[in-house]
Amino acid sequence: MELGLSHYLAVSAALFTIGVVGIFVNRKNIIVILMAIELILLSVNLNLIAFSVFSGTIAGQIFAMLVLTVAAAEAAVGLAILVVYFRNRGDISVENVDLMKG
Amino acid sequence: MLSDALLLFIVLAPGLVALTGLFHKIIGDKIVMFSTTGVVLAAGALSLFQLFAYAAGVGGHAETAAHGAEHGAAITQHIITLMPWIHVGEFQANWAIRVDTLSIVMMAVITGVSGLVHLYSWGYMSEDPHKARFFSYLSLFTFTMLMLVTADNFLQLFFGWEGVGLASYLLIGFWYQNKAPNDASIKAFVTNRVGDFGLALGIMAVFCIFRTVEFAPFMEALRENSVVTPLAFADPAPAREVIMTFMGHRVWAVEVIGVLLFIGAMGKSAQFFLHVWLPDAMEGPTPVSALIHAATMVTAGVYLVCLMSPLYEYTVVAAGMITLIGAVTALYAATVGMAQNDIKRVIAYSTCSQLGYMFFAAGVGAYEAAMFHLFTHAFFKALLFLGAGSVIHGMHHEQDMRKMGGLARFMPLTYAAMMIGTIAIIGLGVPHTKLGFSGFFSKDAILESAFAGGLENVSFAQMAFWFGIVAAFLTSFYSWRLIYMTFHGPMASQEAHEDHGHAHDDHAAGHDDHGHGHDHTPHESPLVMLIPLGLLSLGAIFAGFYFYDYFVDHSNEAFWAGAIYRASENHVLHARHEVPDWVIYAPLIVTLGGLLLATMTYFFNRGVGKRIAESGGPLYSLFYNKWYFDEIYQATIIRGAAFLGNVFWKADKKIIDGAGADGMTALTLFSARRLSALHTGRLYHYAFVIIGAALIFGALMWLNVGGAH
Amino acid sequence: MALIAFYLMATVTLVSALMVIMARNPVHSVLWLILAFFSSAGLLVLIGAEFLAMLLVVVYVGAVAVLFLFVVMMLDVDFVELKDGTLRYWPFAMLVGIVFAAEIVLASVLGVHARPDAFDAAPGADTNAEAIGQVMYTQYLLLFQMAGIVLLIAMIGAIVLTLRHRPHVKRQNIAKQTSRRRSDAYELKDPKPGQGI
Repeated sequence: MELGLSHYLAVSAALFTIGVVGIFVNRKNIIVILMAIELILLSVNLNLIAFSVFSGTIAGQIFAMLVLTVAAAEAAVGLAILVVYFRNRGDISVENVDLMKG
Repeated sequence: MLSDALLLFIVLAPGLVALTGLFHKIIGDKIVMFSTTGVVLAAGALSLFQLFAYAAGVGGHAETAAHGAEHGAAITQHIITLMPWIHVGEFQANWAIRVDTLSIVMMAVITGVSGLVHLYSWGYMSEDPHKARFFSYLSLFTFTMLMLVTADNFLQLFFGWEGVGLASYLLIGFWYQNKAPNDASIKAFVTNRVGDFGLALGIMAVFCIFRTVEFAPFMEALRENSVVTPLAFADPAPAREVIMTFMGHRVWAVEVIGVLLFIGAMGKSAQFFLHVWLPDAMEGPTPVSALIHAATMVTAGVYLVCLMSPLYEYTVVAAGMITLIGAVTALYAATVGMAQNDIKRVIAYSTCSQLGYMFFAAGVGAYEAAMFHLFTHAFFKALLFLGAGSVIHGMHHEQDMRKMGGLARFMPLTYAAMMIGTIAIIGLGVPHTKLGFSGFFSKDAILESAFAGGLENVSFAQMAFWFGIVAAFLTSFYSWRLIYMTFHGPMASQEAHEDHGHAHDDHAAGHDDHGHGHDHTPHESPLVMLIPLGLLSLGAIFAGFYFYDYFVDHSNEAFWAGAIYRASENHVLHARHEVPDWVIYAPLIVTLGGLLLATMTYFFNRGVGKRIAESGGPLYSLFYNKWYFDEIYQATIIRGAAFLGNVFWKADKKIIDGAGADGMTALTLFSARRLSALHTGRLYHYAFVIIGAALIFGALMWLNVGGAH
Repeated sequence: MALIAFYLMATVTLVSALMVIMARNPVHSVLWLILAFFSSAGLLVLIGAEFLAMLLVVVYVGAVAVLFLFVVMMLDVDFVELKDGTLRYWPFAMLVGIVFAAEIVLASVLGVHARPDAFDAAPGADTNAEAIGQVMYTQYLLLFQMAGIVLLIAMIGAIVLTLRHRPHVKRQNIAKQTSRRRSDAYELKDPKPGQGI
């Protein structure tokens, strides 16, 4: 069949699910969580651009650009926090991040 | 009739002058005393003048008045509207002064006695540091009582009713620093409240059935038997035949209203069941007892019943109830008064008994006789109380009669006054003539009317007559007992005074102006106290004779001129002229019998009374302990109410506070502690919650939008 | 033809995404992430959004992924011990994943009535870049500027969070240097013969 919107949507959905699962399944490494978040954002970008191309408006692509920007900013800040956290704690095991307990 | 301005002065000035008491620290006690006494005496003089002038002028319009009375139009009724008060739909009530015969009579009584009591208090309260408060309370009372009697609608009546209750509370508890007056004033107020509840319900019933709280339309509907359309509980019907649903039963509306209004009267006039406050009210100063609990406030109930004559004429149950309660009270109070030792309590029970007379007179249909007795009773009862006050004052506030005796030679004028009062109350007079003291005329009129009513099968009238006769016997007995114990015989106070002399040194030091240091011999009262006694004595002697015609005899229709309504079937007042002779002589005979008995037990064999008292037989205990009414009420009602109060208090604390204030607090703390366990601090738990929520929201939104279509 | 390319690149994307979260070595995770980015860029080229595809490569791969690599290298992580006990979370995670996927599939298949084909590459412009450029600096100017500010703030934030001054490191304070005066620099001393300073 012809390459259609639903193909891209399927890919995007799968990517999204993988990203979500990645947050859960990983218990040992905060960096992997951040990477999973990047995957989620990537899937969203794909979705947006596919829709934009399909429906003939350019707004989706603009939005995708902005999402890109924000994803980059978020990755930077998130990693900075991680670095500082590592400096204070000495490891990045997710299981030990429970200082907000109670 | 006096001009409107003077009428306004009579009614309103005492109220205004009562306010001067608020400033007594600035203007001084004397000014307060002068102004209140002056105003009330002036009002009294004006009212009495009005009464006399009205009576004198009655002959002029005898025919028109008689005609009017038959058809029920009160032709001399004159209403001065002062100010609108409440105007809400059909509920219209104004501040007004209604002037008709009833209110003229009451105004004269109230202001006259009040003025004399004000004057008397100059002497009686001369050593009291709170004089100004006393006088302003007295004037306040006068004002509210006047508002009560000049009301032209139920609301102002109720205002006056509550106002006199308030004044009574304030005055009984005048010496509030002690426990007994405090308790007594609360008792008076609470007992009154029970009655007021009935009155309030009655007023509401009136409004509900007759759609008005003003007297004129209400009475007119009753007189004309016009059709009324009640607001609720009943169907439209002629006024006297309305049947309403009261507490689940279908009853005559006029009966219900009559009974409820009478309950109010029972409370205010200390009738049987609601009489318990009157003896305790004697804790107040004697002028208070004279004014409020003898002449005026307690007569408000009688006034109400007579005012509502158009209503009671068409009731059977309510009128019967009035007769029954009145008769029982008359007899009951007389039995209890026989056994009391406190001089004021004897007179208090005497008042209670005489009020019973007035009520059963009204109950059998002789409202005029009731008002007449009210009128004469005001004089001689106030005289008796003020005389007793004079005795108490002279005995330095000793009130127990067993400690008195032989005072006749120390206080001759007081003695004379008390004698006059006693002869008036027992009703000494020559039947079939117009010779007699005032009580003779009024009491005999009542008894004859009762007998006549009995002949015509008015409910309980026959019983009322016999109870009245026995009560007359007892009245004579205890009145003479009082005189003999107080004024005759040896001075029982001699040794007691010597003890008192040692124990009360500082008390005596404050009495130096009496001029007899440690002596404590009884002395005559000052002139300010004797003048009222003298004036009241004149009234006690002559009032009956002078006003007999106008109140109950030939000119009575012209005099009342429709202020008291008589249904055409009510011939009681006329019929009393046709009673057999023995009925007319009976009161005199029993009176003399009582005098004889009293003389024998207290004059000749002085110790007999004491021996009977000390032997303590069951009858004596019953009478002395007021038939144990206070104890019965304490055990049942008071304890029940206290128990209920406790239950509600505990319920409030445990249930309402538990469910509400404290409960909520505990619940919040508890749940917060549990819920905070949700904060595990673990990232993936938080992430899971976020994702889960996103899932759910997504599903919800998808379903919302339309789902699979 | 396009379809084959699509399937190829889609498969690579998904597999590398899976490997990102399953890899034991965090460095490997980053590398798989880079591969995922590249293949999705390919996917984008396929539908004519080539500008965005390149943007993806430059920004995501060139900046974000490199940043990840830097941090992974910087943090001295003992990755052997990290991978214990992940197996027991897989069933639950799979469940969540399936539910998610189902939802998305249902929504897209049943809800959206997609036009089966008819792709429009970029309306009214020859290239993707031109199309974007036409609206970016006109209609969406404010958003564009705000995106810039977001980046600025992120940069400042990252610096604020992680900057620490090492002690005993020589640094230049230009202002201090240029405000130095002769009087601060030296002083003339006249030593007497036979004496020191």
